[in-house]
Amino acid sequence: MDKAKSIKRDSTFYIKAGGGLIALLSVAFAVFHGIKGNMIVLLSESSAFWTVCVITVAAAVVMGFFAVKDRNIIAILASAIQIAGLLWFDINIGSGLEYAATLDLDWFAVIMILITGLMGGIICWRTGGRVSLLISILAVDGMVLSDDLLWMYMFWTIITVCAYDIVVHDRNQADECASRMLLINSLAGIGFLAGIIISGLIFETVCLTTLYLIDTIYADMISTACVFIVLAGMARSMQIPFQGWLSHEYKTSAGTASLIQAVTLVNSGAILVIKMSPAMGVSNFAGLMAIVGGGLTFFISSLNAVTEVSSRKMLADSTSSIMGLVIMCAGIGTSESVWAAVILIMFHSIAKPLLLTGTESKKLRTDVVMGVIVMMAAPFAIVLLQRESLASIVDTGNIILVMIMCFSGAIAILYWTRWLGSLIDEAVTQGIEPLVFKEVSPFKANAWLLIISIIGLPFISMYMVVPYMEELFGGMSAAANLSDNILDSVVIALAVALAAYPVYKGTEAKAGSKDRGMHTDEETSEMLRKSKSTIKAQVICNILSVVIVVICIGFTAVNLAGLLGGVLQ
Amino acid sequence: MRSVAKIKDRFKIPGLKSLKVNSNWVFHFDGSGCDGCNAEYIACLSPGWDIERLGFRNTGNPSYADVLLVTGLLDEEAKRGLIEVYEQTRPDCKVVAAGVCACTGGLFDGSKGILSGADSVIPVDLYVAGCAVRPESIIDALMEITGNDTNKGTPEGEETA
Amino acid sequence: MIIKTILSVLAFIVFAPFAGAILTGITRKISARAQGRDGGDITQPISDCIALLQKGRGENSGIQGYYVKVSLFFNVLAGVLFYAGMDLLMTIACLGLGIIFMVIAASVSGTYYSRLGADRLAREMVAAAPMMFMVAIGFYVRCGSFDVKDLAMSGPVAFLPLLGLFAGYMLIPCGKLRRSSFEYRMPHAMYQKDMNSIADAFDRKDAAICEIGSWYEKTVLYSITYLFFANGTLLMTAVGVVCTVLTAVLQGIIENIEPAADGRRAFKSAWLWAFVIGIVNLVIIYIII
Repeated sequence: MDKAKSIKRDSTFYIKAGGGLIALLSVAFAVFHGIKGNMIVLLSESSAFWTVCVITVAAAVVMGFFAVKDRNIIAILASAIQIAGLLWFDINIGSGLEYAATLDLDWFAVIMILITGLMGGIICWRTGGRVSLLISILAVDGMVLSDDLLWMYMFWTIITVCAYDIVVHDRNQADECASRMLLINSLAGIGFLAGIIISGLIFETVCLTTLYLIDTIYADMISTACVFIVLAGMARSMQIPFQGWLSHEYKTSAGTASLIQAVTLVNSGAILVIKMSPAMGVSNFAGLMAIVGGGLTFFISSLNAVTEVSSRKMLADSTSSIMGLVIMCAGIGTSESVWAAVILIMFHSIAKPLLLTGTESKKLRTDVVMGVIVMMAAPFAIVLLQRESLASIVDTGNIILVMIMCFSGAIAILYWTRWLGSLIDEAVTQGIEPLVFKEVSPFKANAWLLIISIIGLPFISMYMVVPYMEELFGGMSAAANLSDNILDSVVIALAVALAAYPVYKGTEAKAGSKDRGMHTDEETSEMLRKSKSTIKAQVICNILSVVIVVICIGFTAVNLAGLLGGVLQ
Repeated sequence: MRSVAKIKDRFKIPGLKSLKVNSNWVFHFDGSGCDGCNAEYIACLSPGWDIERLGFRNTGNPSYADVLLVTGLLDEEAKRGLIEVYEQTRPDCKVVAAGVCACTGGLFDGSKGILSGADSVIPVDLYVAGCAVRPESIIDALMEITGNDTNKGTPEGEETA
Repeated sequence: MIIKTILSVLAFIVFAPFAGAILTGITRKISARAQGRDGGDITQPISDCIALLQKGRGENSGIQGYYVKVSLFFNVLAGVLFYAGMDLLMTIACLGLGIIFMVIAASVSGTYYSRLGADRLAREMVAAAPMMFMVAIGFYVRCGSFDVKDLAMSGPVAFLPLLGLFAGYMLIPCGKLRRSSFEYRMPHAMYQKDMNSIADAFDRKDAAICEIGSWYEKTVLYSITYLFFANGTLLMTAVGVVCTVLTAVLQGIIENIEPAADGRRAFKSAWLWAFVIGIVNLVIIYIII
């Protein structure tokens, strides 16, 4: 260790230092917000507009450049369309808009910045990635801080570019993964741009606060713009119908580092959808698309995860399924369900890198067991079994939604339980390292963060998330029920502690163990492994989601035609 | 791990050991052979004879068992299995050899590879003759070895009770 | 109010194993009678467990013993939450956690069959889970609350509108009722007598604890059956208790009607039933009532 320090500081040191700095800044930011309260920071008036434009166009050009390097024709076209569209919009419409560059420091920003910053720092520490990782973390922070769509678009494009860069340089030959990702993200960018253009044309603003205001006045009008933006968010977060395609590549070719940074990536998609959530609901098309798409993704990804034997691939599926649940909750658009979505994102972002890094190492660690329990318990504790969230879902009267929840919830238990069983089994036979408190490592930090988030769940909910909900949706939120949250957090904490306790003490390897590994009963695995019904189910869900997307976009287009006709006259 | 076990073990129910309950667990070991005695034991579990009403219970783990019931012929391979099972049983567990093949080797005694009865492998407490041994005999043996009244559950037993 | 809650929780902790054992005994006896046998006493499960406990601890207990105890803890916790009148969903969650820890315990045991049994147990839980969720949702839609206190003490009698869900509940989650913890497989057929269950791989005392845990779980599941009838009035309470006992009888009969089903088919049929019955019943509740 000393030798490494004394010889030279190689680049990973700077990355890790950068990550640590970002983490510190996030905490500082949270403290700052705690002191000053919610703020809207007005940066500047008109000059910021052109700065944003230039940066976005530059980012889009870099994206196009990557596309060219990748020889990905569709991505090249998509980038070209984005650059052209952006320029057209900025020159013609954007400059005429009343534009004020604002940063919205609200509770959601605090939560996401804390999570992204801390987890980003831990990820940097662990994987020592590239500078793009730092930039993308900052971009996610920026996205959640920004109050209008152009800023968000700028950060979005930056994230796309950075993500491509990271994945391409991943040591495990992740070229195909990177090109698929670039393809889908650039197409998503078109969707985002379309939403911005519509918003600018019809509603004559791109500022989010104003959009929310318009939405409360002219109920559900925003959904015309929203549909495209939500679609973009869904594509980024590995939802159906992009899911199978994208996650297949992630599973086969990406290395673990890419998977870890994918957590940051899908978070950005989820942030986008949550920011749009006041405009969504069961009754409008954006909401419908999010609900159905998210729900189906949850179901199908869980089904895929059950059939996976390798834990890394299973974790990739679980990312996509949790994101599906998050987007479904955001789509429902009530304050309880969005509360559930935010808390799910929190747990997922903290536990998933823990799991991913844990499965990489040869010897098992306690933290992985903890992570698995949390991942298993979180969707249930937060969504399916949390009184208010389930009540809000059931109240929508949407039977299909309820059915999706019940069935996918059940499948989700299956793969976690099986994995947990085989993990602990492995722990018993191979022996595990006891949890050493003095050792400082990314695992430890991650595990502590997880513990804090579980124990702090009631407080985080009451002091951070609920105020955000009340701000966003107005009025008291039923999710403010503290006793339920305490009960939840106690039960999860108990489950985690009890499950991990024997593993915590460390065990010696048991001699004479025969074949171990993720054992499955032949009947179960045969039944679920790519059986005809699984493939049929997947195909049906994909078709359904495409149908829903087409219907939603179709209706929106019709709406648009009417609106545009009015505007252009 | 040891600390966990220690904490839990301190909890003992007073007076548990002195409770008399009628519940006996039988582990059935079947050596190779014609499976006749095997089938007769299974018949004991069937509606015709039903030892469940007498408090017996079939089990798959020798360490739960009160009675180790050996049927069938024993050759070298079965001997290995029987020793493994016997080592897992408790000291209190009684061994019953049912059917002449398990008692003395029966019809096949003296053949190459056939051991002459279970008592050449493990100590046997009770021998039950028969080829194949009748379910009534098995039940009689089980009742006797577990200290029950052998008339219980029989028509005669019901008359005199 | 608080004293009442504490008393009911204590009553649950103390009496539930006996209640569970007797209900198990009833099921076993009825099942035996249906097969033409004369099953043992109704209290035979208690005798079995005591006999097992009298044999003391073996040498094999280790991590799996720990997890069996954790499973017992969560089953008891589920009942405590139920009898304290709290959230029905939390109860279901704790029951689920109980099963999950049992699955872990079985995975950690050394034998191959034990791990198979663990997988099957997980599959059984998954087969039953949608129905449990739908029952909870049905209660919410009909009676307006997720709290057990409200469901048991007031509100409309949920039985008739939720008839479909009740039938589904009988068939599916009560599958756990039909099988004793010693037989976490399909109903025992004679040729399967030797490799019975996951509990066979446990140490003696752990197997006994596993059985006691399953009695707590059964009591909670039967209590949910009681909820279908509960109204707060004395009449419906009595009806509820009678129907709960009748449920035990019914399980014994169903066990003999449903043959040793292939695992795959059992799973698919469970989900298909849950899907069909659930949708129909929920649609009826939502739209018609």
